[in-house]
Amino acid sequence: MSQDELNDLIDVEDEIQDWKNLGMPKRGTKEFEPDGTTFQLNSLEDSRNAMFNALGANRQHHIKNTLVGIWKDDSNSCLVPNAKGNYFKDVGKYNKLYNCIELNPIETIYLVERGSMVIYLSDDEFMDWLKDRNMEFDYETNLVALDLEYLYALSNVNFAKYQIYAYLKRLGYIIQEREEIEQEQEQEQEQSEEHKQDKSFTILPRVWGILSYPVLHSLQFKKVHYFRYTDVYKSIQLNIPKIPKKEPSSPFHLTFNVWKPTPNFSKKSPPLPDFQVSVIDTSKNTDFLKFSQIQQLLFEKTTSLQYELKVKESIKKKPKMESKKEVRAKKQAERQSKLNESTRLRNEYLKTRDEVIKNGHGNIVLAVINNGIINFIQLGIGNFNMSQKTEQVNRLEEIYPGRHHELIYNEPVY
Amino acid sequence: MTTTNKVILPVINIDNDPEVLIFDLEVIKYLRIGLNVLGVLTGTLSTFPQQNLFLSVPLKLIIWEVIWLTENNKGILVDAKSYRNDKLKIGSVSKSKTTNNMVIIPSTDNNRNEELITKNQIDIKTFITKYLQNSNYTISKFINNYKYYKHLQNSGYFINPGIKFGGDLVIYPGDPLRYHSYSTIKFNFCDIDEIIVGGRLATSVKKNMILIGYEDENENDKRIDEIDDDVINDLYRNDKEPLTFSIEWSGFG
Repeated sequence: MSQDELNDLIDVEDEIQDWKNLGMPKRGTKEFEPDGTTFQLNSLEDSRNAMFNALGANRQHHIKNTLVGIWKDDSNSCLVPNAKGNYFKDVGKYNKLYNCIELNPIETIYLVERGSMVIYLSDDEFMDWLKDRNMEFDYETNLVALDLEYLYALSNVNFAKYQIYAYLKRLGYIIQEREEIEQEQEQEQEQSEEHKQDKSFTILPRVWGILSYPVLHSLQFKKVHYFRYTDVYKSIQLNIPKIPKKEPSSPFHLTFNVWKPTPNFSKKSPPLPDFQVSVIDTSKNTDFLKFSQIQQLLFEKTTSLQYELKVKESIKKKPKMESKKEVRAKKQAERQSKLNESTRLRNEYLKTRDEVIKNGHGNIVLAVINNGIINFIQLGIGNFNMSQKTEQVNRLEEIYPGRHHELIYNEPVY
Repeated sequence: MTTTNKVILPVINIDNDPEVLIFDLEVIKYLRIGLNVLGVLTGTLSTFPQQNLFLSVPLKLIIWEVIWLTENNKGILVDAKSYRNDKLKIGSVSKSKTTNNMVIIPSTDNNRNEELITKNQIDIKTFITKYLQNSNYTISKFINNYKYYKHLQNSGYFINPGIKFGGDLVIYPGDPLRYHSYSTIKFNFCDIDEIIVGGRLATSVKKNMILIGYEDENENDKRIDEIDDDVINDLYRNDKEPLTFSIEWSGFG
């Protein structure tokens, strides 16, 4: 393997960065081990100073954009009497009682930590003022200002959850905590479809868990003539039962709804989330992902069906910046458009089918955090027999109606 | 014993999921330069708030670092919430300040109050008990894991959590700002397949894998309800060094 190939195996985020390259990460400039030379020592000191200078930089914002939050310790939340700026698209919730935006501990810390909001501790005087607000209130002279450490200490924040939230926010995603949303829209349970199970004597032992594979196939005693391979494959398909969903019984939940950045996101009627994330801290407990826990997560997952009922179709505008992926997709589309219609459809068909097989359906994202290190895993239900009629599966049927999309080998019909 | 020569290790969330988070830059410098303790930076860097490569305070200390600092009398665990509330009562507050039309939010306040530090001190027994309340650690596993860390830390390595590279820890011969790591650490001996998996993975990230463990692992399967003095004594006792093996994936030709 060449050096470049080896480097590609390591995510740039996994390496400890030299702070001399702040803002533009580099790799491969580090050394193997200390050799005691002054050159190395100086270079190390430079790196350390660069790091400490960056950490010591003021957490600040311009006085014109001053945003003030008031920490209310009794409700473990933050009130923002004058919410301005771009942050409140997805952050915070309107509090009727106080007629202002209210932030949860995670959102509060996020805004303060990035230097976008100053925070004070509330007192009785402030709460009185909040009711009528008929004159100016000078926060600085009347209230105690909190530093970041004091805010963390007061907030009792769940640190693993905060880390995931901040990580995704820094990348520009739109995030809301799940529970809050769930309270507002009463949860509509999906009718648990009783799966029509083949209760024939060959299948029952498998259901009981005795014989994983049938010794005798139900076709053993019938006489059938096959003229096409497709029919043979079709007849020997296994009938896989659906994974039954289970109501949550332990404190194991989907934590966040996450959307890709879109300009006209609405907190009140959010579209179906692009990702549904569950935060798991494995630093001291690795008892995770038992089958029953997966079932619980699937139970909690909001499906597109539920959304179609609740949310008016919001017109999605394209984000301004095109990602590399989108640019590539565009080029691909251009190339495809030069091909003739039937080849184009065949390509689309094969691509879509591969995606269905690879990704399955009903994906959830697990954010696994271990001693402060963040990892993401995507978990989906296999859809190999394409029994789940997702949008993609329907598209396959549109392109080639009547085909057995779940069979890789399909004979041409003569 | 006086508290003045120890750094404050502020504990947040002591009742639910305790975390030691350092906000004081001087403490971060001391830990890194003076003691080879790295921690993990987790906060948004306000000058570059839209990336995850360079992060800022707070510095999260992992559990082994916390115990090591306490054992060696370098740090003192303090309940951050009650300590800061007490300081507020006696009027010690940090004012946010405005300079050059910029509103500045400080990371911490730097006035130590020795009396209140002693008053709000959390002893290591309580801390570990609270830390382990939702864990599936057995006592012996917890103690052994700490001893492996301690062995490496006392040998002068710089240590980071190892899950990124498929181990329990990753060690650096010098400050990782300047030096590459060449080893991942795996706690306890495991079966041959795990060794193969670990060796292959370590080699693909340009490292070797080091197995660390005790010859006679007497597994005490007791779950932890309460940490008593015996556990702390076991934790702090300097008995024989653990065994270490270095493994590298090798191929023919």
